[in-house]
Amino acid sequence: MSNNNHNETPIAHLSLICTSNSILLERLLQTIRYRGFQVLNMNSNDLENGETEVNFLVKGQAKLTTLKKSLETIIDVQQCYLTDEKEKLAKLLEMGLSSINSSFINNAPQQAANY
Amino acid sequence: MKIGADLIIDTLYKQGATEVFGYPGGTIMPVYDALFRSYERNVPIKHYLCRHEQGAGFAAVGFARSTGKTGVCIATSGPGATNLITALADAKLDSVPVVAITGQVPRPLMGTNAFQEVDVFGLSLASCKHSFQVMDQSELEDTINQAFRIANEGRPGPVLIDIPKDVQMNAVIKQTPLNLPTPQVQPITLDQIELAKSLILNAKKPIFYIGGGVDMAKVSRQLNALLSHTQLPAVTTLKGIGAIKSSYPHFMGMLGMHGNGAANLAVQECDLLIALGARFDDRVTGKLSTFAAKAKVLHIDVDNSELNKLRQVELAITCGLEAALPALEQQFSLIDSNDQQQWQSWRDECAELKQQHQWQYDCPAQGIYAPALLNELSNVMPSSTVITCDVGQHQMWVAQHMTFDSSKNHLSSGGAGTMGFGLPVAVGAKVARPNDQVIAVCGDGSIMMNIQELGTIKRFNLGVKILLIDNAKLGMVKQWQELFFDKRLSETDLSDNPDFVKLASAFDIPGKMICKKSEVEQAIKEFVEFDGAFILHVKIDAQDNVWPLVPPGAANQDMIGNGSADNQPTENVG
Ligand SMILES: Cc1ncc(C[n+]2csc(CCOP(=O)(O)OP(=O)(O)O)c2C)c(N)n1
Ligand SMILES: [Mg+2]
Repeated sequence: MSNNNHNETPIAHLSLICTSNSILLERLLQTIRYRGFQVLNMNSNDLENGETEVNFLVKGQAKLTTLKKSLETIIDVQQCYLTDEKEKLAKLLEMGLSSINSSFINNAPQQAANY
Repeated sequence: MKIGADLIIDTLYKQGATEVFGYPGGTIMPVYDALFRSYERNVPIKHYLCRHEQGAGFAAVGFARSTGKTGVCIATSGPGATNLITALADAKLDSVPVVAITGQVPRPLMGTNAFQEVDVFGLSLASCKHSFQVMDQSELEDTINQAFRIANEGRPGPVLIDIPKDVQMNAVIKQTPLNLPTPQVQPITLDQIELAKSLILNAKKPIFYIGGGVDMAKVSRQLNALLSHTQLPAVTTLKGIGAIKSSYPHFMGMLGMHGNGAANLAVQECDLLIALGARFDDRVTGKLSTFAAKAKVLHIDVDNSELNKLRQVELAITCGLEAALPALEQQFSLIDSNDQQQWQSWRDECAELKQQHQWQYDCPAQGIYAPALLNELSNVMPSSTVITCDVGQHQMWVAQHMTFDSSKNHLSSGGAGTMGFGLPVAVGAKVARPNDQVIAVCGDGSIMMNIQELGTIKRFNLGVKILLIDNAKLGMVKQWQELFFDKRLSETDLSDNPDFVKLASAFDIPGKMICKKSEVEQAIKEFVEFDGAFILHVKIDAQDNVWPLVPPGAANQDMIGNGSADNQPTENVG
């Protein structure tokens, strides 16, 4: 049975620095889904030195630390930063994931349910 | 002119992969042609034609697990590649270094639903440690080299390389490196080692919980030295079996769902669980919140994502056991006799548990009692024998009633529990270790899943022995139906099994059937002494079940059945 109590579903922001390649996003998405999270939003930018920065906003009941660590085991992933504190999330998202406005974060649980 | 396929063979050869398993087909034909020419080109690679790609995948697994080397399997695109996937998924869950090479339709046809085009690369994302698709001719060589590195580095696992046919056929061009990042290996620090030591020394009831990671890191010797310094009780997982010498007096056996009663109770009683290369699998822990509930946990594993995944631990160390175990062993090599003495009452408590939960083989029935037969086999076979298993009741009986002095001698599908594992894995093990006995202990259900590999055994004259435990049932499922589904035996009857001895004889493999207890001793002796492939078909009573059993969702101390033959709750349980 699915958990309909979205108000309790934690949200987190993941920022990854990865080696660029054509399969990268698929690999990251597969791991996020497998570890029990849903992607609410994402973006990626190619950096200069053959690297790509990828940002994800995810929600899920599973353990965030396990998600972070399993993303880190992917060969292409060089660094992975995780933020799940509300204030920091709001700030980060203003800077990076501009398609999600800060009111989303302030009302994160409810918004996530409707996303 | 040297073509891509030649470069593939050259690179495999340089990697030491001189024995490979596979099955040809359209998109991998250039590689098969290069294999054919490998002898004249002075890069000889012996190819073992299996009779199904799953068989080839599992043969590669058997080759790898019985030696610690990398197993290699090859298949064509589409159905050939999808047939490999089960073996690769099995290798992923059991952390086995395998490199799989699959053909793909030529690049211009990719994405057009071409004949035998399946997105195996997509499939492999969920079933392999890593995967490559060689779209750039210049990256062929380094892709193969990197695949071998990744398969073995850190926590081992399968790596798939999907190679379009035109990449195999085109002339070799100048090769360029892939420039993949190499992960930094975390060394163990002195602080961590001292913390670990002090946790152990301050515990009153510490116990070692040993997983498959120990053998994979090739540190069984150091583990046994550490045990000998501390004389502490120890248990293993299914994959950890063999890492601890069977002669170690404080070895309590396997823990978990079908573990030894003493092992489970000792873990429930301990105040420090020292988990080395183990991952708190649900078949081990039973109800997680009740598992070793009184214990602090010290967990060392090469895979950081395993730490604090299911159990919050007091001290988590991400480090390869090849570094951690020697360091820990050294710390305890000069252990104070007072320190060692402080655990005497704990040792006594464990010894008493062991005494109370000894296996018993005095089954009153006239039929053959499989645990007793397996114990007999274990006693008479050479200690270097490799046992491979299928999946089911017989697999658990092997784990319970046979002893092993190396994890490389007990090849069982742990994480995936794949029926049909035993026979092809035995093929791979026999190729890798031709001078050792290799015995596949099969179930009557499981053997039919890869029975075609009798053809491989015949063709290559591999002296694989088969011990078939036939209860005319999908026994393990039947056991659960009896216990948890009100005895509704849905689709688990196999009473119309073929005559397995006749079947083997069609492949020129001799055999014998036994069904009486009085026949066991002689038959096992002949079986072990026979020179060459042989099938011993053992008919057992379908009523026999595996005990003890921790019911799903229950705590390990609430296991049912105490493991003795004459005290099995065959009725009214659950
Ligand atoms: C490929 C696969 N399909 C289904 C299962 C589920 N399963 C687990 S044990 C078992 C019965 C195995 O029967 P058999 O090989 O005769 O062994 P027994 O339990 O009778 O000893 C089944 C169907 C499985 N583990 N693997
Ligand atoms: Mg059976």
